[in-house]
Amino acid sequence: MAWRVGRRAGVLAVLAWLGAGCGATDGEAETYVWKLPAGFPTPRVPADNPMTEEKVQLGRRLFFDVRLSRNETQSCASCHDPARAFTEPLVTSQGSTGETHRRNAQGLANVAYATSLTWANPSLTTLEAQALVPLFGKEPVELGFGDREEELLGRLRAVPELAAEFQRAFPEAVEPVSVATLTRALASFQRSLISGNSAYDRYVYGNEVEAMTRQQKRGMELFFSERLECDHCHTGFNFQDATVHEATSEPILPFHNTGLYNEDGQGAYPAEDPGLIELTGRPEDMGRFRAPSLRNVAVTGPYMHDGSLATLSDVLDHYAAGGHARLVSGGETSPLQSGFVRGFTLTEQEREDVLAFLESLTDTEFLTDPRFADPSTTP
Amino acid sequence: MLPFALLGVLGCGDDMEVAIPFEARVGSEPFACGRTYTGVGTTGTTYEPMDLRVYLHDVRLVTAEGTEVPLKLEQDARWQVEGTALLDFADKTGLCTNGTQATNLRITGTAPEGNYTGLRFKLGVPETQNHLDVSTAPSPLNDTSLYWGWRSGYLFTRIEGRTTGLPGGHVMHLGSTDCAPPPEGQTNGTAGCTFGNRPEVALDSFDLASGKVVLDLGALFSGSNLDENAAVPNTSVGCMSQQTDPDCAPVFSRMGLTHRSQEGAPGPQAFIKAE
Repeated sequence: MAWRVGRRAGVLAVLAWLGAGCGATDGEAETYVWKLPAGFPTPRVPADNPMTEEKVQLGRRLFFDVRLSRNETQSCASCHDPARAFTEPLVTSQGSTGETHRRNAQGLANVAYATSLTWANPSLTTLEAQALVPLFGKEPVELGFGDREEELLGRLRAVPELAAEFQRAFPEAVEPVSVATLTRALASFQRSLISGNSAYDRYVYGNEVEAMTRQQKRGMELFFSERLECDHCHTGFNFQDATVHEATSEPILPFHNTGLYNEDGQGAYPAEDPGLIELTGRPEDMGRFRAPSLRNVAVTGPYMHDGSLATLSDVLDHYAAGGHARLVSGGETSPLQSGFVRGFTLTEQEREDVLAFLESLTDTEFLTDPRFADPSTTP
Repeated sequence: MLPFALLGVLGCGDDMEVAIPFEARVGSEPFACGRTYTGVGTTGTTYEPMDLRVYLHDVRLVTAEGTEVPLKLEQDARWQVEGTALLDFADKTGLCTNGTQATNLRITGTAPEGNYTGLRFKLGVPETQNHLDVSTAPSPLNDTSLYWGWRSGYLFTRIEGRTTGLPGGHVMHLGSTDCAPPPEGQTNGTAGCTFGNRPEVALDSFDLASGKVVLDLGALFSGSNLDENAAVPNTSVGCMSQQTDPDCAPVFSRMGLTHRSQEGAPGPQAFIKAE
């Protein structure tokens, strides 16, 4: 909802820094070269943060900078490692002060296309807003700057070359180093993390018939089959239903209960993390989480919102059983779980084929792309 | 919506400047960071302030006949914007390490000349402002320490203090909860929150010339055990407005708000009174 701005300085500051934003820079926004893979639509970018190479480079530098944690022990990359498609091998993450997060760090490949961010939050729909959570969040503490905003900004301003880079990336900003510019630079870098050169892409979009093995092709047939129903949630070019781009007329924000848990026979998830219901209060949202993209999924384990499934083989078992809750305790299907999680039977060969197909979604070039590496070690 | 039509009826004449002072207390004692209060809550615990900041909006003056007239808040580029004000009683001394050294103990604005006998306002930030981008919003809506990143809304109250039983601090954060995803076809904001949690404060006998508004933490916490945190998983130490947190029931009741775990209707608003 837009709200009419008043006429005093506080408002002027907004408008002044928005000088770099909407309206004035339609042409400028087009100067950013996405280098999109074949078959990829142009990502949707907030009007007040058009993509520029300067912002991407600043964001990259900040993403790998431990100064973004209060005790200088962690950067964004500590939990989002490029070599693992910006995930980490921990079951659930640990913050800079040692607090344990209840959730598994999500990958950032193609995050530009995600309708909502994090595992189960319909209100976090931009990377700019999402960045506030690790920076300032206190439950748990991640980077540790909750209530310490000025300390963070002062620290960044005190590094001359960093302050200069902010100035170059946000030439219109009244205050070049601010929460607004920091989050916009981080968001711009993350939007540049496009992955679309896996064996699957070369086969489907690049007409390289030999890019995928015969086994992977058999697995692909199974993945897209009505028997397995995987592609209802892991759908489209990004293998993710919660996808938005420039041509999307009505973005959707889907969340699903996959029957991972059923604590009481009524579908309850553990109280520590009941999913979407925590924010919406709607009973039907119990246990609902966002389906992640499956790109590079072979290197992003462990899996699920709580990292409770160690391998892709475990994930297949979960879906084959019609939900992990039934796998461990038998019994009825959770009344809350998605109708697409019904269970299926695979031969040993078919299992291997599906796993081989998932391997074909690994984009080795993306995992080793120097453009996405720590600039201090890979200039 | 504010009844602007009334201004047409009552306006046109001269406007008068209005300043309304606010004072915070713990029981009968004046509130100050650095002090230690005793006998607070159901266990009579000690309470050492760590933060006390409160948003309010929709301020109305009430005539003897019961007509509400909006008080048009001055836009001072710091504490008041677009009809919303931030009261700040924490001055960065003692355990109050958050926020600013500066405090704000009053609201200022203009209203048509008239004979007013009452004052009404709502706590919190109105829905139209509650889902802004905190990084670019005008002051006082630009403070990340008053913003729930994960709820994409403001903390309407940030009341925190160290108690005997909870040395890490007891929190009372009021805010909107149980918010629906953005409306169909939108990718930001919310289609609405089930629990807006914006308490109405009606001070029916208020003297504009000499009156003040008193926020009493002693009254707010009179039904709360501040030494213990309810052992419900995934709830805060104190109350962060979660419907699943029984610690919210007594404070919500004293703000005149319903809460799932309350028995019966909430009590009348008892946190704020006029003097």
